[in-house]
Amino acid sequence: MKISKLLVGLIKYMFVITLVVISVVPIVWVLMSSFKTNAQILESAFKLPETLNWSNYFNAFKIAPLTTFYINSIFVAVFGTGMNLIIIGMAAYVFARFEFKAKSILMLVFSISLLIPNTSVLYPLYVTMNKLGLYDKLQGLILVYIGFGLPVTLYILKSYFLTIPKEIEESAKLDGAGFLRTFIQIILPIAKPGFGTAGVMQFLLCWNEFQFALILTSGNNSRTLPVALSYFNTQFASNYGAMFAATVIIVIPSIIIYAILQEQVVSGLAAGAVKG
Amino acid sequence: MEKKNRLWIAIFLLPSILIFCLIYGASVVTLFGSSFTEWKLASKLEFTGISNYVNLFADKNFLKALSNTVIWALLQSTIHIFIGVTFALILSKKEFYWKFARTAYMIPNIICSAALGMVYLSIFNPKFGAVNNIIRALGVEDFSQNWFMDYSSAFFTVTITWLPFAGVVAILVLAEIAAIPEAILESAKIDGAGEFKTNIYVVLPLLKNIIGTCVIVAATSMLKNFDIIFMTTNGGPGNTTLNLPLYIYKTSMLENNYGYANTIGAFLILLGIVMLIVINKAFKLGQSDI
Amino acid sequence: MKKYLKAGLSGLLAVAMTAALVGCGGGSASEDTSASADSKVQKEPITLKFPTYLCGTNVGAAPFKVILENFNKQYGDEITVKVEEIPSDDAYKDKIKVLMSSGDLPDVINGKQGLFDLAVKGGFALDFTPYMDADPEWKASVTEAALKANSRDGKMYSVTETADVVGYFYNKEMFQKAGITPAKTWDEWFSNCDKLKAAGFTPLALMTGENSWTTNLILASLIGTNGEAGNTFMNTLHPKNYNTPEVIDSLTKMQKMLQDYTTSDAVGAKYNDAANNFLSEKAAIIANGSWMIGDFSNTEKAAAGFDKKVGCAAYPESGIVTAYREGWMVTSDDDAHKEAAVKFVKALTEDAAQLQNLELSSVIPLSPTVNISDEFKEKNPILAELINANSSIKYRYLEMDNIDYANVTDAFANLYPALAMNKMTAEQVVQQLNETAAKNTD
Repeated sequence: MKISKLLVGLIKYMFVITLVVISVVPIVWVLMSSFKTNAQILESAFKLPETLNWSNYFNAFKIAPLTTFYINSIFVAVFGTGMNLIIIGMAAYVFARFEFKAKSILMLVFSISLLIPNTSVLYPLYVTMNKLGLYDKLQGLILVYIGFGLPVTLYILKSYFLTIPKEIEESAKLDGAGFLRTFIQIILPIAKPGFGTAGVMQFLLCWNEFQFALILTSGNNSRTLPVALSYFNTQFASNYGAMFAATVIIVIPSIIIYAILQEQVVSGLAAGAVKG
Repeated sequence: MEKKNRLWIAIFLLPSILIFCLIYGASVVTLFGSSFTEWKLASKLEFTGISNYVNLFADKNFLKALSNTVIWALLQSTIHIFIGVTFALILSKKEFYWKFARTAYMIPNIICSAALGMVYLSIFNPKFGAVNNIIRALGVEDFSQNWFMDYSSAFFTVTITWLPFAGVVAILVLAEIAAIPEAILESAKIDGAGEFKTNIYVVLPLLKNIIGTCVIVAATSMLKNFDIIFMTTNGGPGNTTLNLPLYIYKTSMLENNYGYANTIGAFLILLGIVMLIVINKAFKLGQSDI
Repeated sequence: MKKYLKAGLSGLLAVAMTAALVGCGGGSASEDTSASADSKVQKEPITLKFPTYLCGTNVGAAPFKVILENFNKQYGDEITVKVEEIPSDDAYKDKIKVLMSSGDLPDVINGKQGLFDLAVKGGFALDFTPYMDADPEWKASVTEAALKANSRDGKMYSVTETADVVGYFYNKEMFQKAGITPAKTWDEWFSNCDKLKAAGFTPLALMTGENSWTTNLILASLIGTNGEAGNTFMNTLHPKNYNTPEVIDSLTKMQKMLQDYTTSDAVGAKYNDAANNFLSEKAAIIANGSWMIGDFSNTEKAAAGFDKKVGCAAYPESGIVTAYREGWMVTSDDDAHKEAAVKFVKALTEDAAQLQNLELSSVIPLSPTVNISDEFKEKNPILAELINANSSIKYRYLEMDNIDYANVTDAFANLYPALAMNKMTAEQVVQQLNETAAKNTD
């Protein structure tokens, strides 16, 4: 009995350790490479850098307009995530709780956004944004990312709302709370963990999307960080060191934000422990 | 009261519908419309009926891309989900390392794909890559497997750049487990169920909805998977690792054949809808489970 | 009650914000049009839209900056160039195609990556003939031959500032130790490879990823020096039939090079891997153009003193790649913009620009009036060697990238691994290339 328990524990830890190790390898590799020269990156992939050579970081800022892109990215990520959660959250609640005629059709139509290939969206979306006067505007990118995040946020939140017992709402109804008040005062606090996870996904989308960030903008005033990475990688002259330095600069905040948002999820659970 | 609710339902749905129409409206119409035409860049559009669709099934590259895409979607909705859920169940016991592990496991999903592609190219590089170096150190001399380019290993190598990294599944499931009331778990304990049994008989059924959602997100992500393949194998060698999104990209951006690219796109959407219906049926999604 | 109100407001806010986003965007668009209406009265400068890949780490970024500064000094009052930086060629091609299909082309584009043919076919491109006739000096510096290469049906659709003259670079030290000199025939090329191998060196820095650049330069040379038929093949645009004895023979030879004479990471490698193999003295030969010369003395990329070891030669049978670049095209809508855009293209291609390109990124000028001084040659011995090799050449031919359709170039990256690993014979590869080329209808 004891031995089998030990064995299960061993397998368990091996499983977790393996996954954690292979997950950390990329970021360690990027971090190490950001202190190496091009040649070192290309031939001694896993040697530690000989010295802490910061020149890649200086070069990164010199080659690409990182500072402007940074401010833009923060703006896009904050509004793109916030508005996505509000707008899609409202729809997800209705989908989870109410019956209406067009429900399954509407869900099906929304699901198309989960499936449509990016390449097919490229040109029509460019035309739409241009017609709306949103080409080369941060608002345009925000709007696009709210839409791109629609299906995933919808599925995550809908699934979370479904786990909240109906009795809670019914008792609120008896207390005289209307539709909106129930949603905002009862449902939202309980669903905080759901919003936390959906928020993480949406933030990563806004922070990392490259292709549309490039196609839908024409100047540095409305471009975001992922575009910066391709400044370092042209066919006949790449500067991998600077590219990885830029990657570190881009990735570190998203790891921190992820950790913070996850903390929110946990504390949200403690605060709204009425569930069940 | 009911009437008032109907109004609120409409108000709550309207912004999402508006966004959907703005972002996808034109694309959906263009995609399905032009799939019945011959439409190439810098030339006129011509109606050709269903001939594009007929051509699909004689197109060797399309069939290969289709089968790869389906295989990857299957792997992703089984093995990938299994790994993620198991990871979450272990972490849900909140042993000392759980916060670190939760953040660490998410990292491959956080790094932008351009950098990730470079990392994997380097790890699997035949000459100086980590994998071959480790195998050489273990005593296999002159081992120089070209992981991404050899017919025997390309598919496998591309697959493991995403299959084990189920950080998203893990955080979704973790959030849901954390919301399970202590009382339910306590009562299971009192009934004498061990950790393993509790997980199987008490926790997993409560996770049905979120696991269904994870399967949907994971399976459909394979219908959009592009960056890593484009950066590492570009569909090769031959067409061993070609998938539908990459084939659509090549057809549209290299051959400028928008009509045919959109036909493949339309087929991809239909395939996705079938997948969604199957998953929904399998998990009885959309029903409150408490 | 207050809470209720607040809640209602925040719910509506979401809707309002969306509407506002759309609304204010539309508003500013109409402002734009009114502004441009005013500008005609005040004779404000004409704004040229110019998206470009000449930014970031691109080799042409430095000279372009100088050229643009000079242009602004000269024309700043009447013409404003609105530069849009599009880092990387692939992104540039994708974006220009999106702009092209929605009829929003900028004023000046580059014809690379198949954009030239699309712009001509779509009727977007301006014919430079009248401008060239009116400006013989400019015509002389961009040369009749280059203009002819970029003409279709007698119309000059683009102007280029340079021709790629591409031989190969070799490591003199390794050649000396192996006791060889640059090959005069392809048989000698292979025996040289054997000798290099015997001396302990990997002969070739090949790569088959991306556009198979260094590999395809050698393939082009194999075909282009293979008698008159091969040379004609390599000078004819958009072949649909690769099933010729010359191509098959060349592919068979390339198969041997990929299997026996290159680095173990060549199959699937990117240009940077191949370049690094040469720069770090792990391979003796790399086929590439003059823009690489700067890397030889860049200590970030190669050991100090490496540039002293590099020599440059033409291919066996006295062949050299000579390809006029696709060059700059004017795609403006109205005459005022066309006039201004032509001035800008002139600034990008005239003698002064060619000189900047030569000095800042080792690009060989076209113009006979740009004199490469002896002093410059002394300072740049490798470039001088190339210019010297270029002076007496028997076979001249284009790059594979120039003649192939874009999807054929892409197909090479998937077919070379099959060839290298004996999964396909040269005949089967040729078959696949034909099928790929056949997908292009024109």
